[in-house]
Amino acid sequence: MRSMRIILVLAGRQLRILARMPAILLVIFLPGIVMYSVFTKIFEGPAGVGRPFRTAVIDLDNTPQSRELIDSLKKCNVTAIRTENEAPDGKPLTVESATHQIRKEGKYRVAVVIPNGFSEAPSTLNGRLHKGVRLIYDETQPMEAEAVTGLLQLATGRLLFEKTFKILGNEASQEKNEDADGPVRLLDVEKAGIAIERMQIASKHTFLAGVVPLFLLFASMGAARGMLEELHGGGIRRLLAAPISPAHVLLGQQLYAFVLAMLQCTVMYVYAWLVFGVAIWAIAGGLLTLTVATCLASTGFGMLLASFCRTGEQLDAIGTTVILAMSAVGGSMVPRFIMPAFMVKLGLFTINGWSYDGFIALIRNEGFAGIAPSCLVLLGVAAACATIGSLLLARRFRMGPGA
Amino acid sequence: MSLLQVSNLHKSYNHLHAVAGVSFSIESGEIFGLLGPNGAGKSTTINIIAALIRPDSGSVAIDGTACCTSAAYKRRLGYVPQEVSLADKLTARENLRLIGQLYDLRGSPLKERVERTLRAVGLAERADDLVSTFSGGMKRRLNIAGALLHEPELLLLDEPTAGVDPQARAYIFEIIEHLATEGRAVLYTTHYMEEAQRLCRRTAIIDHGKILAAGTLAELTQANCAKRDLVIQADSLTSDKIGKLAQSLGDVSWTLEENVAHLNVACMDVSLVRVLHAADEIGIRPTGISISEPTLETVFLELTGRALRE
Repeated sequence: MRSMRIILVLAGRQLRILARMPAILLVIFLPGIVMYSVFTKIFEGPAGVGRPFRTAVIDLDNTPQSRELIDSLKKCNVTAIRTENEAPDGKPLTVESATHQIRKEGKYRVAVVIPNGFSEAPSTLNGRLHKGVRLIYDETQPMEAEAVTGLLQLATGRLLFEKTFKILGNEASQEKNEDADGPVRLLDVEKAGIAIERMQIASKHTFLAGVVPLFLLFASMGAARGMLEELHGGGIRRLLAAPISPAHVLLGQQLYAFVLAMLQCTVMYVYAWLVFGVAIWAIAGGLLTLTVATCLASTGFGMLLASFCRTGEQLDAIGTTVILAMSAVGGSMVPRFIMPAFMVKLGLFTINGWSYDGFIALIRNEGFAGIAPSCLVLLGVAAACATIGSLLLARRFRMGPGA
Repeated sequence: MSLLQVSNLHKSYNHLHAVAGVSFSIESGEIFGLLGPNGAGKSTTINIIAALIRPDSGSVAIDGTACCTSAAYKRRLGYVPQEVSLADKLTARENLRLIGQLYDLRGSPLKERVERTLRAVGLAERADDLVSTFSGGMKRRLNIAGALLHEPELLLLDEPTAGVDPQARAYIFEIIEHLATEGRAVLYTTHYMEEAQRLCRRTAIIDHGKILAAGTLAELTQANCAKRDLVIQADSLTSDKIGKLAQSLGDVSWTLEENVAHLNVACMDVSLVRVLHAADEIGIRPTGISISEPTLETVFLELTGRALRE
């Protein structure tokens, strides 16, 4: 109880000092937001404005009518992929292979399946014989599925227009149109969303997952530098003359860094929600848990650096090198899902990697079960860093300046 | 009975003996000086007593409570580090409140102690000003205040006047003297002899980690035959005359420069009357004569063969 009070007193002191430096507060929050925005925009997904949709097409009907629909789709800004290697003479895509691609590799997010017998009634205007088409899509990208649905309607309309009014004489189709509620549909589309098993590739998610731990680590290095300055300035020696231990000092500083880190994350998440529409509220519970674990691990790492390094220059050199290396391997600079397998494994030796994986699990709606491994590892890292840091600091003081 | 007992402290850093067998004791109400040049081992000694560094061997106890990490021991001492270790962005009151909280002071007792301590160091009127707006002397006073808040029996002051002007230094001396009159023991490290001479009842001279001598000024000068300089000014002084005078005073060493003679009368009971009488017999008619009193500087020079600030 006393220990907790001492730690709170020491953390409160640091926060009060920080509150009196508004310029520094601004500097703390801005770089993360700027970097996140820039990366997200640079790597904005293939659904960006003006780009053709890459859509898999499995033509089970393989008739002139089905080929006409595909050709018409191409005129509507759709890149139709029909073979597994995308070559004209390649192995044709099947429903299974297309589903696998969506689920595992993300080469495309939507597949249009034209069923057998499509040619008997290529549109709703042909009456009850119309079988429609099937759409398989990445369920985390419903907007893209909606867009392809619209394009299918447009392509069918274009076909009908080209064949002029031959079909308009069909009474059955007229009856159907009269019965229909809402906007007229020319093609029935049966949609089937599938849960992806690959990493989410929306840049707004990927870079939020990556940039957050990167900036937390750099912020923790700032807190570590503050502690080193206090060490050299005699401030910590004075504190330790009071009936408190080095662990109190270290944990007090870590608590301060933790509060600051949580504040930084909150600002980043709210910014991502407001500007990029990241659905943070749907995953709030898991996000909070993962953020707490990430902040504890990164601040613990910072305190370990402060206990280990002798000078500010040493801290800058070692800290920057280690953080940049961890960030590169851990997915803060390049998304982990595009890395080779061994790099993905290597990333598991970093705080960034575990934090990234946890966030992606949240976006994939895996809930607490999905983030549990990440949280456990990150908390373990935090505990190890705090313990080793306290021991190093205590030894440093016990042995004097030569230690 | 001694309040602080320091026995045979040893501390080395990579085979360099920072402290080598330091022993001394301090009584309640006594200001004890630890005088020595930079790197002599003063700060290491004081840091060991403050339980900040673990000694290789030796023991420290405050009124029977042994060093080093027990809370009971730490509560009995107040430590003023060499550096001004205060948060610049906090006010004087906030700094003291924080330190008080570390000693488990809370609520009205904390408030009362903070106000009392601020008054004691003459900073009550600046209590709510940021420390960054303070002068060097004010910061030093606040630095001392931080060590007084929990009312310790022993105060450890590690060069508390470094870098302050004479006026601020005098104010700090007054504070320290007042603390001693309240019955607190004070261990004061410095490399300024005049400070040790002015403040300390007893002084230990430390160099290369060892205490070379300890005691009152009189004890130190007597025990170490500190140099006393007899200066005679006269017209037409010759080497011959001064040589004879030196011989009559006990064959002491001497120098002569432009009618001013310096005679080293260390360890001798020499009175001006006797000097005047001997000079008159030799035919010296002094126009000026003086004998310098021994100082800690002369004692230090005697003990180490070098000046304190070399």
